[in-house]
Amino acid sequence: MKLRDSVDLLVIGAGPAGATAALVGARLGLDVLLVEKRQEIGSPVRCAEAIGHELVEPYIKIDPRWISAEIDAFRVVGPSGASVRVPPTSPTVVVDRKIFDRELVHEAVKAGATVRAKTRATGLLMQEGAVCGATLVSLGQEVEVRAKVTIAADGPESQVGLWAGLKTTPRASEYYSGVQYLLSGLVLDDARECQYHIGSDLAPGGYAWVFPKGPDTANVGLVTTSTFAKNGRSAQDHLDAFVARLFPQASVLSLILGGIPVGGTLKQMVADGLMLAGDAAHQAEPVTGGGINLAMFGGDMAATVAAEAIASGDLSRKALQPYEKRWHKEHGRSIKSMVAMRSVMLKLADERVDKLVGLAAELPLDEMSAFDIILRVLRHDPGLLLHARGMIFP
Amino acid sequence: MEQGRRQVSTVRVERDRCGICGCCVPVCPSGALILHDNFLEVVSAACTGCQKCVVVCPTFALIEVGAVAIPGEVGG
Repeated sequence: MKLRDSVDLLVIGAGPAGATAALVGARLGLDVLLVEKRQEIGSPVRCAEAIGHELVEPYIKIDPRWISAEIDAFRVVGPSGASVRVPPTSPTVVVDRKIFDRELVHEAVKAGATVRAKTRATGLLMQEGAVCGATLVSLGQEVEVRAKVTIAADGPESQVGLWAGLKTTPRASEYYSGVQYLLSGLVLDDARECQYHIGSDLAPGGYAWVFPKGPDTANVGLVTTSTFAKNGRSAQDHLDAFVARLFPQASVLSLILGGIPVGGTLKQMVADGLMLAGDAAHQAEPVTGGGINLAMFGGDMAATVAAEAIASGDLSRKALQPYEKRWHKEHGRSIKSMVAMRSVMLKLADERVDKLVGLAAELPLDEMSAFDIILRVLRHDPGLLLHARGMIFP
Repeated sequence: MEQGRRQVSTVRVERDRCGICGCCVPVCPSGALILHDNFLEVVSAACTGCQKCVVVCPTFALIEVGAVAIPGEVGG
């Protein structure tokens, strides 16, 4: 299967960001090539699979085939075991990403994009300092594909931005090391509840989670931050201890590993002829590290601006910068406040976290706005105000 | 130190522990880690021995190995 040697838009990486970029680009009439280095789109799965499902509806129709569990609530469990049940801010589901990712790519194909799996980018084509495509290796064959705009959505391990001179190296203090098991044979108290477990011994610089995938199956994972590491234990060591305590009888159906940049979106996401989207642009939510919804927004926004630039005939960094401006206008404030919130949470001693969890458990959270909740918490623990300024006034 | 060689500690991959996830790749400041389809390559000549990859690896699959002589610039 021969690849065309010239397209309007080349998208590298067929996860949620890349698939959405290809879908939106094709819908806007661009000639799109989407390449995925892995042999199979959607596999291996790379995350805990929770999404706000209303947010994906502009791109793909809700389909029971990729919904594993519907979620009614989140539960935050403090270091002592006391917990608070928090209603979701938008309807949430845990999906099966093997199917979800593939179906999203299928939508891109239906819109007119061409897709190739087992095709990796090994370098960028440059002309007068501008990116004008990439060298691809497709099943052992090297091909040069020229593109008016290239979108790199090739995940946290992306090197494409670096090749173009963008600063993409995450700080150690703003980088989660993640590990997750798909566990089966569990007894879940509530198969419609996602749990977050916090504690400095449990998950130094991070947290653990239990996201149900069915009545007796769940994604059980944990992230740590290396700068908080203690006792020479890896993220996997911490997860094993957590699983041994909660689910000693469970079977492990799969092991998922990966890093997540959580320092907030890169300031510079474009170069001449090149845009970054999704984890490659550090678009994940800084507290949870969740990234599917934001990655899809990023892919959409990047492809929309790419189409505008292509129509204008100007593919320079300046012509692509509306992408950065729109991103930071729409998501900049909330991401900044999450960055601040993460750094506050990592500073709090376990006893203080327990007190806050206890306080929150007594509040009617369903009926309160986020602002009311913050006010009540600050009245209870005024010292937090010093830390919390960045959260409220990002 | 021998002329034309530099001596730094580097890392090796314990293949049975490595999940080939690429978590280590972006934290490497010298681009010494390359994620292939089914293995992680350490380009020893580029490694500066900073150990950033060692601490972020979720399974601790990267192991520090002591100073080895690597062809390249003198010193380091």
